Amino acid sequence: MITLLYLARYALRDLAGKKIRTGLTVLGISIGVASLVSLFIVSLGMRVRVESEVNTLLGSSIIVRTKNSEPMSIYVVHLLSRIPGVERAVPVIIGSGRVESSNAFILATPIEEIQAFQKILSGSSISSPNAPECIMPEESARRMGVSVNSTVRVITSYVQEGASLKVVGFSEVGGLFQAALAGPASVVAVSLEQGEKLLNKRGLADMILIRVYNSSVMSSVVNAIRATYPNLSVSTEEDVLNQAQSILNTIDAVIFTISAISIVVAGVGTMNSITMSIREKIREIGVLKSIGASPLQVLYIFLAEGLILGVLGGLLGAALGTGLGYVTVVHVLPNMFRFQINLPFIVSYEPVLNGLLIAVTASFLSSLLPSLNASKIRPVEALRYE
Amino acid sequence: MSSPALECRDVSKTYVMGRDIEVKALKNVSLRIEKGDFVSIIGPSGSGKSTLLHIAGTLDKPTSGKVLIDGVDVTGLSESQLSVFRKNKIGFIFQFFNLLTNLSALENVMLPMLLSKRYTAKEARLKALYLLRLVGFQEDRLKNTPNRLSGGQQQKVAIARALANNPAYILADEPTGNLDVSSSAEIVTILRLLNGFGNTIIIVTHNVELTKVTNRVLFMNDGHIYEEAPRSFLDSVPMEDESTMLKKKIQLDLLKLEKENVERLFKSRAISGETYEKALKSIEEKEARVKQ
Repeated sequence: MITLLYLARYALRDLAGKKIRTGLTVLGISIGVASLVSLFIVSLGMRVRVESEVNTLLGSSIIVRTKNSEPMSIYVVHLLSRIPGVERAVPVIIGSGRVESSNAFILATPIEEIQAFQKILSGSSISSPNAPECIMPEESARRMGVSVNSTVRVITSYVQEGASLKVVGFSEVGGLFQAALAGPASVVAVSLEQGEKLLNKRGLADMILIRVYNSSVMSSVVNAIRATYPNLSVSTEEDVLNQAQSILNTIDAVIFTISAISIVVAGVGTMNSITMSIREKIREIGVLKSIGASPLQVLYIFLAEGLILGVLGGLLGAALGTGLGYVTVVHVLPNMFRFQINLPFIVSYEPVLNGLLIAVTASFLSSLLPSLNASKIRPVEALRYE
Repeated sequence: MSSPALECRDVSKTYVMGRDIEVKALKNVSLRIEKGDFVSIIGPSGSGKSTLLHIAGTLDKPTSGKVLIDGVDVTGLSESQLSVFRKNKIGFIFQFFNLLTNLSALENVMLPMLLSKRYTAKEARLKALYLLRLVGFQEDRLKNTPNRLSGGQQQKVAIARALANNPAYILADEPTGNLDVSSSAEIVTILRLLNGFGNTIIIVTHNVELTKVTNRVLFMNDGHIYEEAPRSFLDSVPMEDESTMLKKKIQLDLLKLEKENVERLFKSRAISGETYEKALKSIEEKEARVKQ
C-alpha cells in the first residue's frame, strides 16, 4: 500500500513537472465532461419541467379523443359523465385562427374550466358564456401589443368578418395546450359558446377532459371507457408522460452520443500524453526495473498518471459543466429564443458522478495500452536509450 | 563452504542483428566471484564488458550457459521473477548516475526498499538516511532532486541506493566515467571502504587507474575473459604497410584540395594576402610531414 502510494507520488510529480502538457490534457478531458454534465443538467430540467407540467394540468384527469381525431358530438360528454367514478366531463374545442394578424390557437372550454387550462396572472376570467371576451397568455399579448381590457379581432375560416373580443385577463405562458399543440404559438382562450361560433363546431368537442373522484378509480374509469366506446382514444397522465419520456429519451441519446465523441477525443489526448510521457521516461523505466520494480509496478505508475489526469479532468469538467448548465438554464434558454423556455436548474450528484466516472474510465482505458507497453520494455534496451 | 556471490558457467551471448548478422558478444565465459571480493573487469569498447554486466545484473539472459547468483540459478527465471531477484540481490551503479529525476536524494534511496515491501516507510527513511551518511552525502541536500546535485553527490546517492536492499553484490558500470578527478577519488574511496565492510563489488571499466584499487582484475577482449592481461592488440599491428601508404596518398590529395581552395579565396579577394600566406605555409608544413 505504501509502495503504491509512493509510486503514485512519483506519477504525480512527473505530471507536475510538465505543467503545460498536463494542463492541456486535463482541459481536453474536462471539455468532454463539461459538455456531458451541462447537457445532462438541461435534460434533467426538461424532464422535471415536463413532469410537473403534465401533473399540474392533468393530475388525475383523463383525456378522451376520437381515434381518427375528428370532433365528436357534445352528447358523448353526457354519456361519459354517467360512468361511475367520473366527477365531471369537460368538452374542449380547439382550432386555429388569426388574432390581430398573427396565427393563434383558439381554445374553448366552459368558462368555469378555463382556469384549469390557463392560470390567470392578471385581470379576471371570462364573465359569462356569451360575453365577447377572451384570455391570452401574457407573452403573446405583449408581442401583439395588447393590454388588459383592450379589444382584439379574431378571424377564423368560418367567421371571415371576425369577432371583436375583449381581453379580460392574462394567463401564464405554457400550459397543457402549449405542450399538446405546438409550443410557441399564441393561444386565445374563450368560452365554449364563443368557440362553437368561431370554429363552427356547434354541438361538437375535439376532446373531452374527464376528472375522476380520486385516482384509485382512474383505471376502472379508463377501462370502462375503452370497453364501452372502442372508437375513442383514452390517455392518462401516465400515457402523456410516457410519450414525453420517450421524446426526452431520444434527446438524451443524442446528448450522450455528442458527449461520447468528445470523451473519445479526450481519451486520444490522454493516450498521446501518456505515450509521450513514457517515451521521455524510457531510461527511467530502465532504472526502475534495474532497481527491482516489477512490470506490474511500472504499469501502475503510468496507469496512475492516466487516472490522475482523468480525475482532474473529471472534476474540472464537472465544475465547468455545472456552471455551463446553470448559465444555459437560467440565462440562455429563457432569453435566447422568441419564446421563453423556463427550466428548473437542478444540481444533482448524478451527472457530476457520471461525468467523473466516464472521465476516469476513459483515461484509464486510454492509458492502459501505452502503460502495458511501458511495463514490457526490457531494461537493457531502456538503459541504452538516450 | 558457502556459495560464491556470482558464478558464470560457459556463458555465451549472441545478438542477432537483422538477417545473417550475428554478433558474438560473449564466448563461453566462465567466472567465479567470491563474497567480499572487489573485482574490476577491464577491456576495450566492444569487448563484451557491458553484456557481461547486464547478464550478471539479470538485465539480460545468456544465449547459453548458466548464471548462479548467491547459489541460485537465475537462467530460467521469468521477467517478473527476475525483477524480484534483482531487487533483493543486486545493486547497480551507473556511469550517468541514473537517479530518478522526480524524486529527492532521500526518496531515491528509499525506493528500492519500498519496492521490496520489506520495509515500512519509516524504516526505509531511517535506513536511507544512514546509508547516505555512510557514503558521505551532505545532509542538507537530502531533499534536493538530482538536477540540483553535483555529479559526485549524485553518484553517492546512487551508491547508497545500490546498498539499500543488502545486495549479494554491487555492479558498477564506469562509476567514475562521468566525474572530475577529485569526485572520482572520493567515489573510489567510498567503494573501497564499503568493500572493507564486506560488500562484494564488481567494477566494469576501461579506465586502467580504477583497477589499481581492486583486489582482482579480469581482462576482457573479444568476448573472452582472462585472469591475466592479454597481449596488447597493438603488438600485432605493423607500423607501415600498403594501407598506410594509401592513406598517405589520400592525405596529400586532401592537402592539395585545401591549397586550391585557399588560392581561389585569395584570387577572389575573400582573404587578405597575409592570411593567404599563413594558410599556405601551414599546408606546406603538413605536406612535408606526410612525405617524411
